[in-house]
Amino acid sequence: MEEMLIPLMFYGVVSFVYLAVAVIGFLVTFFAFRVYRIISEKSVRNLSISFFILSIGFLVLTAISLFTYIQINFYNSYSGIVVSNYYGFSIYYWLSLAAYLLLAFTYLPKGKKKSRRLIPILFVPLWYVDYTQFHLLSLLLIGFVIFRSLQNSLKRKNLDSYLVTFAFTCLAVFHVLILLTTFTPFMYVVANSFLIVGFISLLAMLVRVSRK
Amino acid sequence: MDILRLIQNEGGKAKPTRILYGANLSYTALKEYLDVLVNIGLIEKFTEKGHDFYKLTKKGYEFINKFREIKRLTEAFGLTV
Repeated sequence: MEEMLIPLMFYGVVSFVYLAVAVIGFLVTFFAFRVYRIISEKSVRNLSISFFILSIGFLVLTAISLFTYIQINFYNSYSGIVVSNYYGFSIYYWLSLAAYLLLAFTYLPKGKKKSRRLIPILFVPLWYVDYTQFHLLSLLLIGFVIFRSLQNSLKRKNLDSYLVTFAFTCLAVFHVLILLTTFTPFMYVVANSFLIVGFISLLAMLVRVSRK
Repeated sequence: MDILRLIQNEGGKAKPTRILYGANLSYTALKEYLDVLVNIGLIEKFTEKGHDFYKLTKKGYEFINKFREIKRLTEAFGLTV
């Protein structure tokens, strides 16, 4: 049970981290959807949907982290924690993978047979997603997104695109560090710090973009 | 969009001749574009000291801001539009 390795005192803090990440994710969703309504571009719609799904996943994490924190700190009880963590993390895994898949699809180079390039993904064992597999698959998909985002940053050379690339990189580091939680629970704290820094980077980009 | 930006860069109002040079268009094409922009309410024509001017409307400013937001967001994420 990887959840038991998390420092207990961090459950309260991490709830707010996940909530902040979800809120920023919804903001990206909102901005992208607003743009989609005007230009009806599929890639923008996909971006909006992927951040929406990702944010729902983080809301689920917020709920289970808060539940765990309240149960242990206020009721000194472990009742329901294992079940809620099991189902909560499973839902989060599936939602995040769906979001990353859609994001990776969005970043595929434009072409006539774009959908056919997704065929190799069918061989990814999505039906068997557990802790390690989830983070490794996430890394694979985000790795591709980072590659494409970095290409864009180097081409554009503007701060907004660098902020987006930095955010995706922080998300990848988050998944790497979460895997290292097996060796030291403190890594969970560091991992979540990277997560919030990455999403703050996205927020900074949104503020810059919406500035008059 | 170039015409709207040009008027904005001129402080929100510009003479047709200034727009003509800035936008690098023929007079006929410019007249056509200006009429379209006036008809959809992004700019309006007015006369000052005997000279014709075009100025951005509130809707015109909003359109420029919206367009900039769209461009910056799609470019930031590297989405091909």
